[in-house]
Amino acid sequence: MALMTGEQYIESIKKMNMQIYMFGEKIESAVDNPILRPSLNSVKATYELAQLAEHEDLMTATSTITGEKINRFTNIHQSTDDLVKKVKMQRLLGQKTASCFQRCVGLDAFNATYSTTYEIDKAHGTKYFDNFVKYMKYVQENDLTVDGAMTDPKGDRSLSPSKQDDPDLYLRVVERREDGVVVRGAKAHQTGITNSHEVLVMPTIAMAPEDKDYAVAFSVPVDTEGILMIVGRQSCDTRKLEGSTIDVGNSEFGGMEALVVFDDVFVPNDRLFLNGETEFAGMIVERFAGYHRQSYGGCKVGVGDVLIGASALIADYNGVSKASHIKDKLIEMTHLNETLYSGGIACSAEGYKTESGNYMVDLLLANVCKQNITRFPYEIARLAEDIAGGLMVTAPSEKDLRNLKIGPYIEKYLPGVNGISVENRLKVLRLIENLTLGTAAVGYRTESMHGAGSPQAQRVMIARQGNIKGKKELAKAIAKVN
Amino acid sequence: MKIGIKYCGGCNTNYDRTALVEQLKSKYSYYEFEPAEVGIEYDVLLIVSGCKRLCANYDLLTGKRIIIIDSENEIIL
Repeated sequence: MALMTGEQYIESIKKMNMQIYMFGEKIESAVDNPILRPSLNSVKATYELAQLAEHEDLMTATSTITGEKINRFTNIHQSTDDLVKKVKMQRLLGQKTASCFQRCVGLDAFNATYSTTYEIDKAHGTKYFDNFVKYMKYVQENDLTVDGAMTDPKGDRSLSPSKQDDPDLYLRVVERREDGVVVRGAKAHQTGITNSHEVLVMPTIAMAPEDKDYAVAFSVPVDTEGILMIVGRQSCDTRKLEGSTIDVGNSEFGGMEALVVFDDVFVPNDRLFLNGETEFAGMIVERFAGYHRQSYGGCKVGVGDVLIGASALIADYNGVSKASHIKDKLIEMTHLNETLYSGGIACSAEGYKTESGNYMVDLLLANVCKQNITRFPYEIARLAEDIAGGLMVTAPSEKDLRNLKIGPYIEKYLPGVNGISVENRLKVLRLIENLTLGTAAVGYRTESMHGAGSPQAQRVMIARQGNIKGKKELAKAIAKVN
Repeated sequence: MKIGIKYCGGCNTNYDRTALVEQLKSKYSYYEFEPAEVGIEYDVLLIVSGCKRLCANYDLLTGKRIIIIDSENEIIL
């Protein structure tokens, strides 16, 4: 089963016995829960689009491990063309779902772990690369969704993992056995964990020798004993319980995040990809971050396409589309969005081959891309709100629109141009609300700020990669400085 | 005449590619259209690209004649 259909994917998640908690209660079925279901639909889209002739060129690749056609979300990049196609696939999915489709973290974790394990083995004579290639074969053959888990809760950020008051604030090995290790800790902000088959855990920062127990990378099924997921709240999340399709803005798709607790979870030896080689913790983090910063140059752009489209639509519906300032705002939104895309494409086109044979993005350009992502979606959202007008946040509910007594008043007083129904006007306004301050704003705004590393993390990388020394020499040469 | 269709991935298309192909199928209903497969030589291999970038990978596909469409104004057979 190299490619699952959307329905097969849903059935496969149904069979898992995950420990999910939300609003203080255990969730028996993530598949049927109205708050979680839209996020499952977004992942389902990654399976469905791969089945379509008109998208398979982006959505699928040929595995160098199995030789089979696989979903690109399980691909090990073999060229800069693969890196470019990854970004294009992400833009496509952003356009189709207007939300986070969650499967990128796994893809980025695969490629970071693939190249890093190769280099660990070369330095230490370990067998992590063999373990990982076998694992990837399993993932590709079964078309699995894998959550890439990096961010530890961190506690006091000024202290290293081993210096924290509570030693579990960074995930660590608490027991070493002949057949594997037992780990304890947590990973925060885990996007799509309830929609995943497996979780691939990596360390979150570079580590010193005294942090040996914290330098661990591994993968286990998400329903392994000891794994517990606590779903995070999203702005306006309980609107999904009201049964309205208008008020949620995007009734089909969404994202989800959770705090994932690893309460003494056993990891067998063949699922270990790093185990105490502290000097490689930084490498896996840097590579994962590089890939994930590239990812945002695709996914956020696709969501931005939808937001720009919604803004242009509401301008039409409000009868202001010919106003020069509206046209200029749409131009500005497009300019910003395509600048983000340029970063994603550029860091892919300038990628390079690692020792393991897979391809890595250009780190400077990937960090520049993500730095822009921490800013431009906010400006695009601001312009969308400007164009939408105040009704975006003051419009009555769908229940009021349907009410026999007050509905006619809404129909009478909230129309725009002739020929456009009040209902359609409200639908577009709610979509803009959803993206700028509703459930999807988690992905479009704050995730743009902090996902794949907060802004300062990119500035550190830009400083490291920026070659100021070389630029000084250029200036000296031109100025004829002796 | 057997026509094999190969789409680009469709990341940011300038027109509705599938709608255009449906128009072609309707207009030339006496031709046989199918998704292009490796190992079959088509009378026409129709590459449907959403933009001028033409990133569709058709290296392994074959056709006696290859026609590339990259905008909705190009319905020619």
